[in-house]
Amino acid sequence: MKDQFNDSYKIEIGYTDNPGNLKKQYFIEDQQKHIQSEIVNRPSNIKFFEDIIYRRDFSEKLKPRVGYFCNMIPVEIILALDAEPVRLDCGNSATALVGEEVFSGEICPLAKASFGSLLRKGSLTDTCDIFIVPTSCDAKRKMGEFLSDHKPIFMFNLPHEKNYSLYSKFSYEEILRLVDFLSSHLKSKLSRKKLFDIIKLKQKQTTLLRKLQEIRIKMPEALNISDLFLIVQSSLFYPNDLSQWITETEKVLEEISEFKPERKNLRPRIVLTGAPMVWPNFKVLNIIDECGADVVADTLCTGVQSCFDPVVIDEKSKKALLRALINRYVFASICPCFISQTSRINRVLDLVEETKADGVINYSLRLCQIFDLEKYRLDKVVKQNKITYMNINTDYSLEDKEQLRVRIEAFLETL
Amino acid sequence: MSYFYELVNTYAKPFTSAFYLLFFILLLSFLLRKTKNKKASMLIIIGFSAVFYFIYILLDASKSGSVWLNRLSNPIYPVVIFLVIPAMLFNKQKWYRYFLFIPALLIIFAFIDIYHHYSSAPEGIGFSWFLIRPGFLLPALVSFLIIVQRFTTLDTFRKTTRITMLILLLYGGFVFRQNFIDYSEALSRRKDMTADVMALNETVPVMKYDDQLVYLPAAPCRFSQDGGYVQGCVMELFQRIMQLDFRKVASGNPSETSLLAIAVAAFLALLILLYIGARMWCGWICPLSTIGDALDFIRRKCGLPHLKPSRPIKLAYFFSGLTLATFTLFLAKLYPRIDENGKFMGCKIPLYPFCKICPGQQVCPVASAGFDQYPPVPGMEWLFGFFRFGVIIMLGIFLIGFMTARKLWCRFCPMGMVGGIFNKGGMIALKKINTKCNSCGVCSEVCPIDIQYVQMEMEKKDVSNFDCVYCLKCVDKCPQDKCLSFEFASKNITESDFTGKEK
Repeated sequence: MKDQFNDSYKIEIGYTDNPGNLKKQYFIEDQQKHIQSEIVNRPSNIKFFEDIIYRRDFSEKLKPRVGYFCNMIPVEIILALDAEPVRLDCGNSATALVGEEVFSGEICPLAKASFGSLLRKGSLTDTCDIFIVPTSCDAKRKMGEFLSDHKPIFMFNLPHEKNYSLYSKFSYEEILRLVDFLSSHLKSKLSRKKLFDIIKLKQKQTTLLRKLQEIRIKMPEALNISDLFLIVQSSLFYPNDLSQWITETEKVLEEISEFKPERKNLRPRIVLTGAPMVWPNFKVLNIIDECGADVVADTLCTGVQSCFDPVVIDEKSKKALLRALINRYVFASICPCFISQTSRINRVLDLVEETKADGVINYSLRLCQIFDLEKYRLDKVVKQNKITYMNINTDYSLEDKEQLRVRIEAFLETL
Repeated sequence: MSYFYELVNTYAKPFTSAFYLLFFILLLSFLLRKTKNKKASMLIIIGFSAVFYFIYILLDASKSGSVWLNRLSNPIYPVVIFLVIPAMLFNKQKWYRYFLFIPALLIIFAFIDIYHHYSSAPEGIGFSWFLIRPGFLLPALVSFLIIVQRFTTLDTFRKTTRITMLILLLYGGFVFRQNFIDYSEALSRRKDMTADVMALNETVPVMKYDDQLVYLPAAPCRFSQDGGYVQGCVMELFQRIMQLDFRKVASGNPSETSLLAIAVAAFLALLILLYIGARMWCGWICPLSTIGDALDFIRRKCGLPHLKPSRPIKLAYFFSGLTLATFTLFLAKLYPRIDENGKFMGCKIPLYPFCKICPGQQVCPVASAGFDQYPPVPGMEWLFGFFRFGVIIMLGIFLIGFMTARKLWCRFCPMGMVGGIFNKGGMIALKKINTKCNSCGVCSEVCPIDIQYVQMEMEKKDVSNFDCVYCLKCVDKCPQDKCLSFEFASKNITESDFTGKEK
């Protein structure tokens, strides 16, 4: 069987045309845009990143567009095949309502919103030519079949255990399948030279983000966390030119490294962990910022963590390059979809130690089971290490904003 | 110059003793573990050195004592004590100028020495210019490496070390000759064409001090043309011990007893070197592995992928290496029973059975002096063709092992296996801070011997294991800062520093 899904029971796509909902989507985006525009100390070239993220018309595209989910798909392969990778995870609560028409209400808002954006003609998801979905959680695993009605799709099978000796071969074969799938649909061949160059380019992105993180650990006020997330997400979630992104981020880095704080920073330092926060869902970030605390580091797969691990190249053969990609995208991942949560707890504790943070906030997305289940052990272990800890359980909707504010304020009092 | 050398030779003699090295490293590891006070530790070491010096002088006065002490002395030991260990332990920023001063002096001395020999030797002799006293050459080379280390990355430093050591071990053999007379004597002995293909003295390292044997825990082959800086590898020593006729020793035969004494002394020195370096000798010095790495380099340049042998194949490799080593060592045991035709129960048995099938004996001489030196393939009369097929198969495995699967050979190499025993519990260790690890698998990917233990171990701190050759590639490439580190005597020597490297 060549394709993963067959067309026997294909269901015709039902686009929904809901101008009211679209208005609401744009309203949510505008609201976030407005909140972010009032940040005091913004980089001077933030406009570049904003232009990428605030774009609404995606109909024109120069290259075939490949949409993917999660942080476990080797973007380098897509770029090397001369296509445009776009990460499709969506953070808009209005879109989630659209998705609910197909999915039940008991599915996590991220999956609903991502699917909901497909149902509108002309949306970014709709303009994609190919989808790649990793089998990271149940929602994603089953969403593949829904998506297969619309576009060619490849389900990237992940191992459930980060056992290198058992599953490295499995993952390698899986990545070969992915390459085959992509090159047959994009009608181009993966060349070793090009893949190598792209990996080198992506390594630059990693180094840049690591440097940004390093400066932010020293003085978090140099760059607001929402702006940092905006910068990171503009390179992932929307069509962009990576080399241009790198030059602009270098400017940001230069700017914030010369930043001199006017007074001593006494705001409490927070390490943020948990489920992904996708623009415009920066609700929690905004509240933490407004309550007077700094998020100094994060382990979110949409934050700095998304590009924190570099692809380490030792040998330059195609096989070795693909294996290096697996190491970075599958085995270095701290996603809770793997059976052991040791590496995530390690990362959190290590970040707390490195940043000298005062507390840890775990953001668990409502109806996301895997993050919800990990909260128990994380809670116990973090408290054992005498670190203040709080769990936030919320979804995309803005209704519980004030309740959250009260809780976070109370939490910051204890620091 | 020679007056100066003699002077140093006389007064610095106690420091060339293996005993001094042994006590020094034991004391050092004890002090590094127990105390933090640097001044007190320095004083203790200086006091100990003075006491040792005094005892050595006293023992040297007696006749049998001086013979034994002489057997255990070698210029390698003071180089380790006064250059290698300080270079590793002292703060590199602060002490760097002192590391420059002594090496510069040594390199100047070495050049003067070469010039001295060159001007006195007759013309038209190939390597005669290379005659240089080991006491100058060894520290000069080591200090050259210490200087280089400051300016290079870990990867380049390892390559430089490997190439330097390859040149030293394959071409530097004549440095043990003190002057031109020794050199010509060695040449004449080497040209003994009556010797059989299996005979002992076909290219035996001829040394001025025949009872000062040094065996390295790596595989510096004794058959290479200008080799002989050291006597050979671990397996050669073991075969030598097996060849001894213990009936003769029991009856008090003086020549056999002195052979045993030399072997015991060499074994003791070997153990000390192993305790310090363990398998690091394989990863940084072994010429066989360097030659193999040249093949690996060609493969990399061609962009060819490497094979990853599966678990059963790895195990099969390990046990066949062990079986071959055991079998050939038992063959060496037959040496005293060989009759006057050179046969045992009707078959011909070579003196050094392991060397006959070892690819080192094929590869190192070729690397040192071209294809003329390729030893003839043994005929069918040697143990029913065992050696004939053995040598071909092993050479094939060596070439394939390095060309297709990085260091496949090294997990098979009996010389290295001995070093592996000391990998845990020796002076050096590979440490991992588990909380920094996200098990990304970079260490498993870059490891030339496919060790996955370093990545999989999430509880223990000490991740050194039997197969590891301490090439430190994993430490170099690890993307998590401070996660992996290399320790010498429980002191951190180098650690993974991804962010630092990118700056």
